[in-house]
Amino acid sequence: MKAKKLVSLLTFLTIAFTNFTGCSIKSTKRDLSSLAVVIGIAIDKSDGDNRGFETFGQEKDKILMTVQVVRNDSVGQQKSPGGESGAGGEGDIGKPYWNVEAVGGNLLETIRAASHVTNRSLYLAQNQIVVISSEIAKDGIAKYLDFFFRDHETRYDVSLVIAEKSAGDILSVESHLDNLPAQDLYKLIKSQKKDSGVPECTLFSFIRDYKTQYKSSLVPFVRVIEPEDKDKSPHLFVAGSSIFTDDKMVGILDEKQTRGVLWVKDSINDGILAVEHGETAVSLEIISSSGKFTAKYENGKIKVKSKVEATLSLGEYQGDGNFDSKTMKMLEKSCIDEIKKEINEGFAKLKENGADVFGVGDYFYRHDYKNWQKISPNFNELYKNAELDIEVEAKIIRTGSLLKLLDINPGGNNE
Amino acid sequence: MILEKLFKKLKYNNSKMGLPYKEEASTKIPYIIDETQKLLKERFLSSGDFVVRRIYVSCYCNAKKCALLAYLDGMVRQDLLSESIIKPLLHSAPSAKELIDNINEYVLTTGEVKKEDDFEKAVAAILNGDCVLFLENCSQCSIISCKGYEKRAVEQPSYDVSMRGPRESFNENLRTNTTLLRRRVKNSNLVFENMVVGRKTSTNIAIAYINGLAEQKLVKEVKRRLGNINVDMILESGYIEEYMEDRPFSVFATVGITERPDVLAAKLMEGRVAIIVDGSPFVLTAPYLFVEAFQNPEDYYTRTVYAGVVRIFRYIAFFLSIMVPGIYVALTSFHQELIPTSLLFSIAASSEGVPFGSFAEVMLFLLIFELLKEAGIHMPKNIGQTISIVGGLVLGEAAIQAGLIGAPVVIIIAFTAVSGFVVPTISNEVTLLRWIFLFLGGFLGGFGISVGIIGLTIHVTGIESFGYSFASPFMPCRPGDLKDAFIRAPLWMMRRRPYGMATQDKVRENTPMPPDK
Repeated sequence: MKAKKLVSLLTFLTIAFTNFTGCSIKSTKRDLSSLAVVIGIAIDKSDGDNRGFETFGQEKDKILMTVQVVRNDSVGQQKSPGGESGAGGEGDIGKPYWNVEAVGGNLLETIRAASHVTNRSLYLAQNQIVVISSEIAKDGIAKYLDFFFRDHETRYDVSLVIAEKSAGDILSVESHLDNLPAQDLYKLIKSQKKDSGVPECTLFSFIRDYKTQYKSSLVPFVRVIEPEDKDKSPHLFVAGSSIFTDDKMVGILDEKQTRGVLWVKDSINDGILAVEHGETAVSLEIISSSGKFTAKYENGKIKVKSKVEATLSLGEYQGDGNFDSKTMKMLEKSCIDEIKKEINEGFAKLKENGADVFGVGDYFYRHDYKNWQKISPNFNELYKNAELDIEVEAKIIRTGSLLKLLDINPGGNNE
Repeated sequence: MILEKLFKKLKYNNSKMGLPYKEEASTKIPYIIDETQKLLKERFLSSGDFVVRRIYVSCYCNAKKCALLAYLDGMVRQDLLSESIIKPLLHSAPSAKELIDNINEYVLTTGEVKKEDDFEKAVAAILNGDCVLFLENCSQCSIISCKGYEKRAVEQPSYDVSMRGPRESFNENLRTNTTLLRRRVKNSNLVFENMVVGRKTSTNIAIAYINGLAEQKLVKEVKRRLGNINVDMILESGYIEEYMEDRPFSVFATVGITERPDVLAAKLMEGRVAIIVDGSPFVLTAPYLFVEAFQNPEDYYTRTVYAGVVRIFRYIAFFLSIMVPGIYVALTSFHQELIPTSLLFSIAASSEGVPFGSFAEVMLFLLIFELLKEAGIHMPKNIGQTISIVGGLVLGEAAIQAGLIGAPVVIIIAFTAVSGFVVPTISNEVTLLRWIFLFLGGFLGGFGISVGIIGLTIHVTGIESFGYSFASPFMPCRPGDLKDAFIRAPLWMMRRRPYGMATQDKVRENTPMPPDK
């Protein structure tokens, strides 16, 4: 009986195998050489030039989508020195990537429409970054993100960035270190952790904050810097963040302001704090920090109280003079002042744009519902006049490899 | 309907088809010596190497009795024959009464002499290389042992090689093998039970076990299975292995083989039973567990920590060698999102321009490798060089440069091949499993690999070897035996023998360690 079952099972499996998956020498659908691997997606407002595409949606909804597709045979090679964009003489052919442009009404339609131009199907599973231009951001980006969650191939832990001008241009800025611009941008954003001047933002965290009522979020901001010197090529610059209320962009924070906000949001991991200590310039490295806040409604005003603890280590001390525990205490005081300044600046800018990034409204909604019912009708007005009371604790625990100071008294010998 | 017919043809174990196994009827030895000679000549069909020598033994009272020496030329030691058998017979004068006993006990100077009255047994003795002495007017004969055929010297093992440890290996002669074992287990409880299997080849086999250690149940089962063998010829221990197996169609072997006496001695000391087959240097051991494939004798001769680490490498090599081609094909064909981005770029760069899909590429190159391996085994030494050049340069380098195969595939197959050789005892199973996982991964992707792993686990834990669970000590889990499974615990920690074996004598050793000062 056993052998009979075995034979019938094997027969069935043989028939099944050869028919289910297409036992051809070249497997058609999913082989690597039939995929166009996408590593970056950029969404812009359409600039009127249809580039041959026909759209079926409304004119006002048209978007220009740029996807960066990897060119399989040249991406694995080392970057040749002096390989400039025009050196090949053929424009953008021969580079390890290709920026495909497609125009369409909504995102999925546009991605499918790209098949009019690419000879392979776009493969989105390895996508690393989504760049959206500020123009579109001002009108709301949540509607474009629906596709990324609904499609089974896309991932929603990809980084989200807002481009200052055109998102497609960001993807064409050649990188000095990497082969592929999109990968360069992705690594650039990841490396911002060292300076903590830029918040971390993925599609998932953006939607999560968007869905949290009464809270705004920050998204990293990227610019293209074109140097004066014509011999040098343009490069990307990631600094600061854009403020989003609901899903619309309402303003921009610069680096200091962003960091101020991040102190309270407890998102600082690393970074340099430059303080002025009397006449000496001192730099301290932030080792760790923690930030909390509470909010109260008193006398018709919202009072936000935040507590920040920072642990620092001395990085650079440009000066001479005495260096003892009193100096350290004074240094700590300078740090505290600096941090308070940053936080105040950040908060001021937030208030100006009416963006509740800390989540004060959310705090009231969760912890103080009675008061929330009172204030929610005029929350925006009240928020603009909110007061921030900051308590900062800074501790310098290390002084680097030197215990004391270098003797930088010029021209003087050791006496 | 078709399946029914197919199935009928596949039925094994159908004893109705068996040929009758009949013992040769015993024949009496003729009284008259001329008749004996005629009978012998008929039996051996006047074979060129069959010799009959007439001797006249002068007896005490001056009567001359005719004696006949029958032997096969080439199978007996000529010096022993002439010095210790013929010379004493010609130069002595035994009493004519009970001549055969007198000759056996007073005249012959060889070692073993047996009296026999069955003609068939005498013929069997001649075939085994002994010399038989027939006497006039005597219904009995003497079987004199003087075996002296050409045999291979005791050489180094070619299969079970290790760096440290004795270099003796079994050879094709049964007696040499039993002696090699005897030298290591100087214990009167080590018993060799002789059997003859194979109706037409009459191959001698010896069942070896240590009385008091080996389970009686196990010995009985081994004897029962050997007794059931009803076949024409047994040429190698592999024949017996196939007749004794629990699962003939399984990927895994459930009967172990070894070529080294020290390994065999260790296995007998754990309570196992060995079957030594004349004509084969490979001795069978029963039962055989999955972990035994990874237990190399060298592990026990080197120090604990190193041996443990090396053993873990073996397990890793085993699993990698089975799964890497299948997983590579599954990932690149179905689950490209699982590959890290920069690795994906490298693989894509080398697949571009290759006319085959990923599955066909890997299958083609794996096939080439298997063919090279087979060719290498049977290659005469002079052409061996050519094969390595052809294999290495032509197939590897040139194929990549011609754009037929991508470099990652070559690396994958080379790595698989090398890891497959880390554990040579299981390399046959590895080859089979590798192909199975390749097909599963190529057709069903990651799902296929998972199904394969589950199926493999179910299979390994489901089969038995002579009543012992094949996956022991992993399943059922015997924590005490795990000391010798993944790692090799220090010898002074392995106090008991494996579970289920040697239940009368469980304790192996009991040394207090570290040495008390």
